[in-house]
Amino acid sequence: MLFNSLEFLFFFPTVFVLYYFLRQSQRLWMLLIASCIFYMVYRPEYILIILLTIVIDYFAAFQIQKHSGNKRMQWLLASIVANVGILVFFKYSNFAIANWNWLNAKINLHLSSPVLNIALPIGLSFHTFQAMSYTIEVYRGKQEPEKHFGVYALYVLFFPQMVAGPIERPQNILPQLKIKHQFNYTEIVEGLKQVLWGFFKKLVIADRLALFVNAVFDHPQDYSGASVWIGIYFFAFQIYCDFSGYSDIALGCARMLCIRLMTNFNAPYLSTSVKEFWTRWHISLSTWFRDYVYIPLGGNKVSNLKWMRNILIVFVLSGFWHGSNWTFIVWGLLHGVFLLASPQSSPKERTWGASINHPAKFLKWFITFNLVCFACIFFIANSINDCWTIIQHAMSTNFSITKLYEVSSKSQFYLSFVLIFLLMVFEYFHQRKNLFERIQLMPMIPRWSIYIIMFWIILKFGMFSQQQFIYFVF
Amino acid sequence: MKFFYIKISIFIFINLLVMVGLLSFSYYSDKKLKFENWETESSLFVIHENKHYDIMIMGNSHGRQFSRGSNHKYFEEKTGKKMINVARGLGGGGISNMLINLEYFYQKNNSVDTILYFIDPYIFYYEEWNEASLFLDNEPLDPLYFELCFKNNISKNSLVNYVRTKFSDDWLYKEKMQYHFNSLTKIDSTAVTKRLQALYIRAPQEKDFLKYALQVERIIQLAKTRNTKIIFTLSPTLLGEQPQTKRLLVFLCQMQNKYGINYFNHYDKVKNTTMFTDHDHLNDVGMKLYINFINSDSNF
Repeated sequence: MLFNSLEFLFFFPTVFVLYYFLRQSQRLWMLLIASCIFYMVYRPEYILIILLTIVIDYFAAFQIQKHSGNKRMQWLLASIVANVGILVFFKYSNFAIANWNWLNAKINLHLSSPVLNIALPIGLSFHTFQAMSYTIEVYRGKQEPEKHFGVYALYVLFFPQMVAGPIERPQNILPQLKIKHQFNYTEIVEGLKQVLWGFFKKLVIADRLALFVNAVFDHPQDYSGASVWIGIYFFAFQIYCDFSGYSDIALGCARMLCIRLMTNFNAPYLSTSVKEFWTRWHISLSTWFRDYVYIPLGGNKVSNLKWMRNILIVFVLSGFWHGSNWTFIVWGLLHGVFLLASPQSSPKERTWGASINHPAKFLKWFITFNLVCFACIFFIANSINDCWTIIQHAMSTNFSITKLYEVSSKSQFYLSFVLIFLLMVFEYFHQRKNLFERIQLMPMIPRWSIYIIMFWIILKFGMFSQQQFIYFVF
Repeated sequence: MKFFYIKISIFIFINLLVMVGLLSFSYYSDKKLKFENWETESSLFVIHENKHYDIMIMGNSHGRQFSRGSNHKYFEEKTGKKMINVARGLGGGGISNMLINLEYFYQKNNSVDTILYFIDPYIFYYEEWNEASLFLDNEPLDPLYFELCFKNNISKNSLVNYVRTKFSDDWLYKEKMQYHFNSLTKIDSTAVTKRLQALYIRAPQEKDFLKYALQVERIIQLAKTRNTKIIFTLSPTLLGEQPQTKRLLVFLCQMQNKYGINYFNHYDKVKNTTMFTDHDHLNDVGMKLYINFINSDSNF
């Protein structure tokens, strides 16, 4: 089920009303059933895959706690292998087969295999990582195995975040699923505001930019260098607004149920270094890799060479997590290289707001933003060859952008720029003083006017062609 | 909790009031608008009440071309017949859409002697060209039309968009549709492949054909009950024989045997590439040539 669908418009209010109407024990099962329904709208049979991993991890956690020494490790490995095995099968088997066939063709082995006709279960990468964080935390002794099967199942299946994150930790979610939440007016209103903001980013900005992005990257050879660069910048904002918009809707819906999910984005395009970017972009994924890959490899408490190796491993894995294509691996590798190549920021330049007018700070922001956008080419292209085609056309000295007007209209094209500008201005001021809280402090009439105007902006300017959230395919 | 539900109800009520106000304004102001067939791509603006026409054109952009530029007036002058065009271009000429247009036409107490339905095989295979297309975005708000769309299973998304786009007036096609006068110099096989890929979104499935074939049969039955003759035509094109053309011709033959309708395959009627603006549409000169041919052919 998509958040921007009619079904969700009826689904969530129903869940919300039932949630506060039912007793705590009934709430849990209602949420579980609702989450299953939410997931099964896509492909009903795929719920069995998630249920299988839930059962495996539920029992594995108890075995990990019960045993000691190697036995503990074996049970952890069994859980990880089960989770990763399913992920590899559905997401990476065709990538492996394609590369095996390519190698076969190169060395004339004649042992090629047909590609498998399997659809990727939606959100597989997200809930797999979330499930793995549970058994790893139990192994580390930081989390007790959850006795209630329903509570653990809901930890994996909780519908606001199960298909595109944030990738939660058991210490954050499990306790919240067990306590009885009273109706909290403030939390619910804050949640509603976040949902509204999420829909604005997704429907008004991301889906509008998608028109131009799709046109440019479907046929980059038809567009000038300037147009290709505009397409690249638009894609950077499209993917940000799409993904963070989804996260905001997820966080807002959860907050309306008085469950606090972790923040997944923190104005990443205001970053002044690639290192800072990765503390602000898809925070749940970057912290997952930090805690479960980078630190176990030694982190930065090793020699320089090993530290660099660790960084590259994490970013290559992160790229590969995003998609089964060499382009994603290159994307991850690029970010790793950018991070290694960038100078360390000094403690004096910690706050963006304090030194906005400092030319060095602006230059750092400009460079960081353009490096991130350049890497986006490898995120959107279908193949390495396509990447080179895009880069070649981006280098052309033809600056005409009139062809972009034909994609939709001139007014839509310039409206896209206005929206991006407004977004950046909002995020800049939101960083300094939480604008949602400031709105809450306003008198009722101006406050309601803002809500009504936002609602009508989404209704009027939103693109309602049910464009799927980009990160659903991960 | 009660306080929250009261507030949210007031919020919803305020927005509903604004919605009803905007829609009412849209409905009553659009009722006063008058457009000729060559001034708008919309069908509802040209379907009035208690009118009689000699010819009605239905179908996709191949039919729509007859009212673009100066073609509509040329057609009426050449044939001496009064024509109404409810065909829709820009992806809105699906079979579901045409069925609704015809039902609406007759429910407004109109009549027509002959329907020229310009049809293509791709239209039988995809909901994206039929009930899921956003053809309603360019139509004014009309409760009867909405009811017919609902009864004919037009997608919820299309229906919601139908209402949503009426909150302002930028959907209105007030200016004349851009009509292309350029000519092709040769057939570009890459362009032909791209066009076919754009039309045939996925592998065609027989079950989809049968679903939309039933709707075509309903169109024929509806026309028959109103004593309207119906002629199906496959328009001139440079795409060659499109996928599933034989399947369509078999179906039309069955309809001919069952209902006595006529059908013609004009794929190769115009072969001169300079008569085409793209590989699938005749330009201004090509359309006039084709209109002359239709006028001279006794079958029409």
